Amino acid sequence: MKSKVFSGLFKKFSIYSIRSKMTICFLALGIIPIIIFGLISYHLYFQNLHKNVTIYSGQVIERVDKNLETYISDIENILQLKSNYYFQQYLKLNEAGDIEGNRKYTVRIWETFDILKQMKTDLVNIRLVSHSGSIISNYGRYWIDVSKDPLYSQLVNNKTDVVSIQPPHLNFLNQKVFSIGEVVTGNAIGGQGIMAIDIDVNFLNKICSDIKLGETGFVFLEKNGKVVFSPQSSDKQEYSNEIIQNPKLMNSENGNFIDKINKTNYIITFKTSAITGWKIIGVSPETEMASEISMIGWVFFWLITSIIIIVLLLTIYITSVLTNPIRKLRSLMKHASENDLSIYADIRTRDEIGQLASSFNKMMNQIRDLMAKVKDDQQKIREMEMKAMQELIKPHFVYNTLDSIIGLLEQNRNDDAINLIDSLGKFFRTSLSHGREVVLIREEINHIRSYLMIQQFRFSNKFDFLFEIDDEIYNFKTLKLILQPLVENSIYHGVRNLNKKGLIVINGYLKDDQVVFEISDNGEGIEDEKVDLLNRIMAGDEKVEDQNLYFGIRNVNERIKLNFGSCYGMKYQSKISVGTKVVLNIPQVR
Amino acid sequence: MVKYLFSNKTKVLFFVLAAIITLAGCASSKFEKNNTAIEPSTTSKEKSTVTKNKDIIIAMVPKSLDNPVFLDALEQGEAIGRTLGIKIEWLGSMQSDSNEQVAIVESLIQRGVDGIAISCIDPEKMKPIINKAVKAGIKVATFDSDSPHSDRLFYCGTNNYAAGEACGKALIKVLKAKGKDKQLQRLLVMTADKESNNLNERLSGFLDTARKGGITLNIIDTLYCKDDVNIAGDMLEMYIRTGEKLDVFFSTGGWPFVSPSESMTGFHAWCQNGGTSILIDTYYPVLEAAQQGMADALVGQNLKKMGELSIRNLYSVIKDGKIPSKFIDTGLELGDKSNYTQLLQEKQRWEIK
Repeated sequence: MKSKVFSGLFKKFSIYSIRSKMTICFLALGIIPIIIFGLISYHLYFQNLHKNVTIYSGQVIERVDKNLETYISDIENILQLKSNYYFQQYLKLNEAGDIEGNRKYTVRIWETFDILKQMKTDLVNIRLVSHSGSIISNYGRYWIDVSKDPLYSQLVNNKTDVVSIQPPHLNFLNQKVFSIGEVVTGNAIGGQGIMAIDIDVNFLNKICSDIKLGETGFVFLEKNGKVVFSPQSSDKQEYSNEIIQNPKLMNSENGNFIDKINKTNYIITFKTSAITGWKIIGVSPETEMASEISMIGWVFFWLITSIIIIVLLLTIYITSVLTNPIRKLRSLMKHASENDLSIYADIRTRDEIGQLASSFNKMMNQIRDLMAKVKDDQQKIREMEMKAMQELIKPHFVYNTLDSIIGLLEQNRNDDAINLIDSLGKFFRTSLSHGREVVLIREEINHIRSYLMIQQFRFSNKFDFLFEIDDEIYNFKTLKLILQPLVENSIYHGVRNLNKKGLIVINGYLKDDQVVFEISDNGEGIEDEKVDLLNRIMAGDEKVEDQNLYFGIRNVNERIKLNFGSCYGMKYQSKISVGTKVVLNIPQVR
Repeated sequence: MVKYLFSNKTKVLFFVLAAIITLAGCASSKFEKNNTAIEPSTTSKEKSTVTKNKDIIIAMVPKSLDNPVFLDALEQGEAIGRTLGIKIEWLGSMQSDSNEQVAIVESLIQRGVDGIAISCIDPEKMKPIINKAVKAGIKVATFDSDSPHSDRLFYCGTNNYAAGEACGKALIKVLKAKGKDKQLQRLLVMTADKESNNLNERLSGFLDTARKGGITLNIIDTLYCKDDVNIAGDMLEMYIRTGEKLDVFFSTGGWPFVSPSESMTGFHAWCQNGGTSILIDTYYPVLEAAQQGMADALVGQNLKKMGELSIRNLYSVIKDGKIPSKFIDTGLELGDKSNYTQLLQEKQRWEIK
């Protein structure tokens, strides 16, 4: 069943049909440019996307850097409080051990710290550290060993007079913070202290996480080969530790590269922050880009599929519109080839197919006319043949011949009688020819020969006859009874009334692919005007009003023309007192 | 009880062992710090850089930093610390916050300070962390506000119930003088919060004494100022102006009178019109307001003494293992219209602004 359906479809869409060829052409013309365009667009899009991801990552880490810079600048401004009168007074009185005198400044500093903390919620602890390790902060007053404080050591022992940043660590309340500090110069109090601010490490998380790098991309911070900050996810921390080992990251300040971690490519973009010295590193998984590309791929796929379907449907429709008239015409021609000549191509388009249909209709009209003419000609041929037969077998000819035979018998010339009867028998036999219209030239010659023998006997050898027939023409075919009327005319109008013995010569030969017969006599001849008239009648240039006039020769001439065409026929040549020659040409028919 | 179970030799032996263990603990702590403090780290194992040196450190943990009442205790504690050659720390959140207080004590345990004196915001919440500190070998005491069910060594402060009783007696006296002791008294109470043990004891002492004295009190409302002197005055003034009519105002602390008296005209007028106002605390701003007619009686605490005795006794425990009595009473100071001027003369003006 399936195979039948498929074979049926295959037949319907045979690649040899115009419709299939047109469909394939249209599909190729429609789809190939789309596929080429799709592939080029896909490639360009991928390249552009890669570039954009890198640019976007660069912008993201730039923003992180700016945010960090802005925030740290704010903190630097806060740190300038170290020069405030109350802060200075506090340090001096604290060093001097004036507890009660310092109450006012202590309370003021706490209030100031509290206001700052409320204004900047990321601040965890603001502290003023004296060289002795005494601290006043927004959590009160306490002590540290300054020699073990990394920020203090960095600022004071290393004589750093600019802001220093301590990477994320745990403060005295076990809160994860990073610290920013600046030296407080204490000329009056002997040693140097620092003012430091602890900032909740969530601030780094906030500025790194607020900016999205795709669905799973992230930003982390690095300094001196160690991760300063990385998002909480263990995966991201693991990736961060792996990425910082990359020499490209270690050996340059800014840039981007692709790193493969766990069989996944990551686009790494990094920049070194001037203010913190931290490397801000953006990590974007290439797979996300690929997923977007994959999505685009799917869009392309469905787009191309949709276009193919649309093109296919349009193609089927267009080819159907274009080829329907052709197929209709083909179907009509098929019918016509099966002898249905009544059909008419009802195609009313003005294109080539319409013109073809119009020509077809004209051709069919002509065929119908020709068929009618052929039919008519056949009818005429039959009628003329009948008349030729009637002319041939005239009762007068038969009675005279029979009288001659009786006379021979009465004279006991039995052999002559037998010969005459034999000739008469042959004459009638070949005349009938079993009803055939066309006979071998040999038969036609034999027929003439019998006729001449009969007439020679009847006219008491008034004439002789001679056959000069090329052997090669005997096996060609000819219409029957075309020579007998001409021979009869030679007898009755040529040699019959001669004072001398008449001679009738029948020639037969091949010339220019035609068979030519010449019936000549040495009779009285015909006047030139009459010869011209006869020839014009034979050529169809002269109409004959009386249908009985020249009936015999016209019958032969028309039968030849009807059967073989107008280029064939008869022509008279004659000269008075010399004789007459009729030339008859027919095609070589085997 | 424990001290009677051991001889003096045994106690000396224990002290030596404790000192060895403590020193070993210190050495271990220093080693850890040396290894982790320099490089950036985000692990919770990292220790703070806050010192734990050879000096004895006693940390005082007030309810909040923004309550100036505690400054007397801080200053006296620091002064005594200097004389004893030890370091005194003062750690608390800016505003009263029991969670932050717990976190601060936790950090002190981690640092391994020698002693802690706490004014408990929420006695029940503080109990576990106090016990943890005690288990860690830290000498823990309470001052101002106790956590009686914890393992703290002692409480140094006012007998809060007695302070309330004194307020109750003062009320009876004032109402009798005004001839209102037989009338129903509509009472407005102000306190810091619901949890503070000391404040609740003061209120209980006040109510019990007044009722025993035949005063009929109907508490129409209680204002909770969260130990915040900045809002207490505003809350009271607002209530006087917009709240229900009242006859007696009692506050378990002097918070409302830290605000300038000029900003409490409504309350002042209410007092002038026969309202009875009794408060605990006799520090300078409270006495100033009382002298202007905004308090009929005051019962004062001695914060300086709290600071002094807390440090002295903790030092004594740390140094010599001498455990004082569970309660060290810092006494009461009674004030009324007859002695406000005298009391003011004895105290110094606050100069914190």
